[in-house]
Amino acid sequence: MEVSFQQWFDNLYMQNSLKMVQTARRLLGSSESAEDVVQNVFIILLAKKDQVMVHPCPQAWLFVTLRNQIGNELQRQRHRNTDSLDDGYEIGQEDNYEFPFCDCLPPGLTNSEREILSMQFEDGYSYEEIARKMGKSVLACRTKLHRAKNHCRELLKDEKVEI
Amino acid sequence: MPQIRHNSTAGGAKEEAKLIHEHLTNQTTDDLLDDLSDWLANADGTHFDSENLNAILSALDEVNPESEEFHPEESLAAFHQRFEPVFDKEENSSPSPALARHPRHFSRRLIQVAAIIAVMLFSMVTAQAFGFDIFGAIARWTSSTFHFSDESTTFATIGTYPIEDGEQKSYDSLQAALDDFGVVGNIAPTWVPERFKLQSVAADIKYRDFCIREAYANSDGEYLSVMIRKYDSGKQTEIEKDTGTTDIYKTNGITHYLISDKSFEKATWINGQLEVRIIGNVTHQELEKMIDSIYRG
Repeated sequence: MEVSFQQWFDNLYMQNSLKMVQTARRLLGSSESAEDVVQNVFIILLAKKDQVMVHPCPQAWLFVTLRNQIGNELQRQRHRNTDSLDDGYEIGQEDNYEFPFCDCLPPGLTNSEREILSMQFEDGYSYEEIARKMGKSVLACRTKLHRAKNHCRELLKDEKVEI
Repeated sequence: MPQIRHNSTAGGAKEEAKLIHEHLTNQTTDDLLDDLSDWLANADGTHFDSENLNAILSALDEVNPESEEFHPEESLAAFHQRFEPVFDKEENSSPSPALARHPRHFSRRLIQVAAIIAVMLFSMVTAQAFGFDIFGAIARWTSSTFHFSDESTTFATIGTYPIEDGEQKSYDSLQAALDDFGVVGNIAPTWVPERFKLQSVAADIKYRDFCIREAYANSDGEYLSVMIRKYDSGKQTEIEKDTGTTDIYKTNGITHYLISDKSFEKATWINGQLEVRIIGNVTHQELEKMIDSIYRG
């Protein structure tokens, strides 16, 4: 029996959206962002429905697209939050800054958080380089850095630091 | 005594599930989140490993339960409401008979549906796109809808790799470096502010990605660099910026993004196979003048 597009779409949505939101929420730390990125995935599916309907594994397609959207959202949040983390720091620039970054990190961060923040802001490593050094995936490094910065931001709220 | 038959497939799957469960037990939230990230990073679009995903999510719920709930039915209903025109158009056209009898009507319908989705998605991502994932999500999936360059500017291409992976080479000028790589197209600025003196031009290749850097400096401690590298549409391009707006400077069919990042002004764009970035202690006007010099020929 031939299935209409809407039936096919609805089945896919009902079968996968919960797991997608749960995954995105864990990695982004926000329900709102998670639901937004999942919606984005299904919007993209609408645009590419002819490809996805004949895809050998539409579920796999959904999660690969979700991965890309999560990556985009992490980038977006990173740029939006640059100012509040900076607070007078000259970090976040691509080129040529030299100052003892680790000395400026607040107490309360875990060793792995300090390490990954230093790797990005002091050593200037790209995500790929950080991933290689830590033996983790690029996405794992992005989400780890996202959490580290959020933690750092919370700790810095009540602290005044001079460079 | 009845013969015991062993189902090796079922036994293997159970053994794997047991190993996964053992691995996940007693892990910290941080480790489980890394596992989840790794699972997603390794998703390859050809098969779906639901067992591993479910195990990680369950383990996370045990060590760090979430209070928020998500209701797929409500979410789907809201999605339908938001994209009602798209679903209506799909339902009003029956598939194969219409396709066989009226192929032109089917094509027009596809164009209309694509246009509706494109407008909705573009309006949704516009606020996010500029200055963030500039060439990422939009470039990747709407490249058939939007165009980033037209035929008025030569599509820049790389001709050859004159050095090996892991090697570095110095040049007297940026153009000399581009000539060595066989780069075709308008890429190199021919004007820089007079207060800067050329310090170095170097090219390197890492994992088949090449990068040419031209660095300037002056006695006031100001810095200017032009970086040209191979553009990979499969990777996300990111550039640091502050909270200011991103200006767009369109010339010769190329869209150039002008960004502020604290004391630095930056310009970035793509031409063909190449991504160009200018970063320095310059003004937006000086950036535009450098960009204009590229296309003067």
